[in-house]
Amino acid sequence: MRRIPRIPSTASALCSASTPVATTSAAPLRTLRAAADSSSTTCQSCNFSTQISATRNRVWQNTLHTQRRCASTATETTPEATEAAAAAEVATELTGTLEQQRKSKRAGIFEVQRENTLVLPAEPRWAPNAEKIQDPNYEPATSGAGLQEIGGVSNWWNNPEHFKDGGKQFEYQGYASPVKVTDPRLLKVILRRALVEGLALKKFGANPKNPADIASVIGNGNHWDRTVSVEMCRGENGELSLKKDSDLQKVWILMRNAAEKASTTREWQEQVRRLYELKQQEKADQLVAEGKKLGYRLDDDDGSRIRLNVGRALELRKTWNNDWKEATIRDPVVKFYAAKRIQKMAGHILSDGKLTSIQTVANFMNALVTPPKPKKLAEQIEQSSILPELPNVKVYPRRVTPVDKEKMVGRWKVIQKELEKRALPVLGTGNVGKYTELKWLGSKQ
Amino acid sequence: MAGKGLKSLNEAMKALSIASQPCRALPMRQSSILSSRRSMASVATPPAAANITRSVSEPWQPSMSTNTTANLDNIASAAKVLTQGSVTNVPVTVYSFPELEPRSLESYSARHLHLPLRRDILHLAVIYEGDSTRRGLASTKTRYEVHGSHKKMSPQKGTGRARRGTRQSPLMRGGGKTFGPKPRDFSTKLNKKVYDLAWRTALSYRYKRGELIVTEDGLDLPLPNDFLWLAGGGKLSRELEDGYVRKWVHEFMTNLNWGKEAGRTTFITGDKRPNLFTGFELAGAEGRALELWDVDVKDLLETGRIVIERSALKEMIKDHQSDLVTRVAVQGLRQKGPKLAEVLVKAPRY
Repeated sequence: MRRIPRIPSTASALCSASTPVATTSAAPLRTLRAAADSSSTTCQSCNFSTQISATRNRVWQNTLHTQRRCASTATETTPEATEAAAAAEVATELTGTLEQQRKSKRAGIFEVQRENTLVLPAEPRWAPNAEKIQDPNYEPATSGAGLQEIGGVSNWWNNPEHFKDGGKQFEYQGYASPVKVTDPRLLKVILRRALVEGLALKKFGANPKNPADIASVIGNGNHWDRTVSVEMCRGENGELSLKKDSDLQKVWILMRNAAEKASTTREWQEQVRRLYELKQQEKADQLVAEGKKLGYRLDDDDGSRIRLNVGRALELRKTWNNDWKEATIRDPVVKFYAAKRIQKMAGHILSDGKLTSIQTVANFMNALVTPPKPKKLAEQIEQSSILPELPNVKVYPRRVTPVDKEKMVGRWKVIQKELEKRALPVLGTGNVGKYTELKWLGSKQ
Repeated sequence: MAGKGLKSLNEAMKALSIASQPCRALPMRQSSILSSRRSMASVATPPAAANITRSVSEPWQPSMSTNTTANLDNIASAAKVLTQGSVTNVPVTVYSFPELEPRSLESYSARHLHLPLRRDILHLAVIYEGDSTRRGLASTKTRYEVHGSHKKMSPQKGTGRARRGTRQSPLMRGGGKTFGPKPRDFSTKLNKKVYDLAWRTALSYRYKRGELIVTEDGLDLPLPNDFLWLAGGGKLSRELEDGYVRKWVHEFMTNLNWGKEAGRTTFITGDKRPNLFTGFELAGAEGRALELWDVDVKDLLETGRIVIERSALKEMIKDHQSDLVTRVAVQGLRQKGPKLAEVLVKAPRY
């Protein structure tokens, strides 16, 4: 509970890193930048002090690697030097094994100097001092009237031209599929696949030793047929299970292969992109040719997007019977993995509270299919489709005002014009107060 | 006539008898899947003494409310039928931030995160906090504290006016205040076990509504590197810096559907995170950030959702379970409370 006085002081924020309080196990993972700066750290590569100037009093945590150069020295680096450094990095990247590449990536060696995407206002230009002007015809102005007003920079970031990346830095890339699937025909197939994979992941785990998280990659192609057509039934205590235990392993291997392929494809795509950026056409073409032999494609997005349409979903639905629908799912681990797969494939984030209440396959389906509760009564009435169909009932999302009533009969424009002609307030009473007569009558209104 | 009247009276009486009632089911509330709601089964069982005198701070448990094993069996089996299996543990998914990838799964006791909603207890806690937060600084001067001479202002007699003593008299303008406010402590008392129960009830309420989002440790706003680079190098003026962060936080929260339109969001961390705290200081319309020590029950009930680090949640529950643990050992054993944050699925490493 908060105690008195609770005035957050910047001083306490600044000294918390140097004298760590750490009363909780949620101890600070990173030291505060300001605290680090208080000992006037110096950039290792460019020998430039990163101490924050005294005029600024905001504190930011800079997560950039220390090896990266500071903004202050960014203009000093020559483009040739940068390119050469990047080329050297690519050379090491191509020769090293995948494991080495991963390690070096974590160490931040591949951070390449790049152009800043933010456009800053130009430095202000100052007019020469009136006394220093030699021109005999010059007459200093005595007032600022007629001067053009430009304004400050408070709206600077509302102009899209000030972002070189076209506002890409504001885009959010979440784990969930960006497209939320709402079609029940698709959702049924996705749920079945998610449950089969959930059971397999429960049995064999998500393989934490593998660099690729196999629960996070969507395999397409024949993965749909092979996972969805696996026979499911009610097992012990009516719990959902697969008829053949061997199917679990098959499904898991299928997922692992897809994840590994997606991981290697991604790395290959990155390398090719980097080479093209550095304009090393020959090397890039060679790499593309090598990759194509191994079955990689530049436009491959199997790992992040589902390829499923209604026709395919209906076809897939013929491969199973309805036994599985009555089965119960109580295992939280199976539900966790199934929910994770659903989040990736269908874009639904199922909360823990909802997962706790889900006990059967039918519950699961309902949770996915049921649309979110309407926020307004009018929306709910509209969705219920009982009242709007009646001929003598009209539903409005808000109160019908006298102005609305005039608009409905087409009289409002006329009234408005007449009021304006007489210089009377169109809406409200303007400067005119209440009737004085009301006061005489002793009304308390 | 009389015979006919008696006949109809007889018929009417018959119709009222229980035997003639058509087989009619009692209008029972459909049993919820959430077993935390008190089931009919426990009400129907013979009342055990322990059950009647149950303390408010003691959480209700469907399978542990009575002493006898027979009753236990009855209740457990009845509860199973009615509620499709009692909930003793609830899962907590730990997400990565900001991607919201489900990374790991932990299990908490239902007595920690799945308590029934008790509005009365929440009310007690919120009022208690409100009282404790009152500063109580209102202060006035009595006639003995007002500065000035104590000389008699006018003669007792002969002026034709009222008698006037000193200038400090409460009757005089500028005089002291009779019975005026003095600085005082408004804080009230609440049993710790009740307060702790309120705390976990608030968390349970959020949990059930899907408004408790647990993230991995190190929760912070991922401000773009380009901005941090410029800000760190002192290239941005204060106005530009604040304007950028305000816009970025707004866009970020809107994309997540956590912003102003969605009722704001409270972020809770173990310690101060510069980007998160400064970001929401600037864009307060989108949400707020609180350190663990700064959180109270009212904070947990405000805003659209709570986003909390996993270790902060663990710490929070550990600090507020006085009704579940005891320091008194009986036969060398001490009740330590349910296990906290049992890991069911470890986060994958890659």
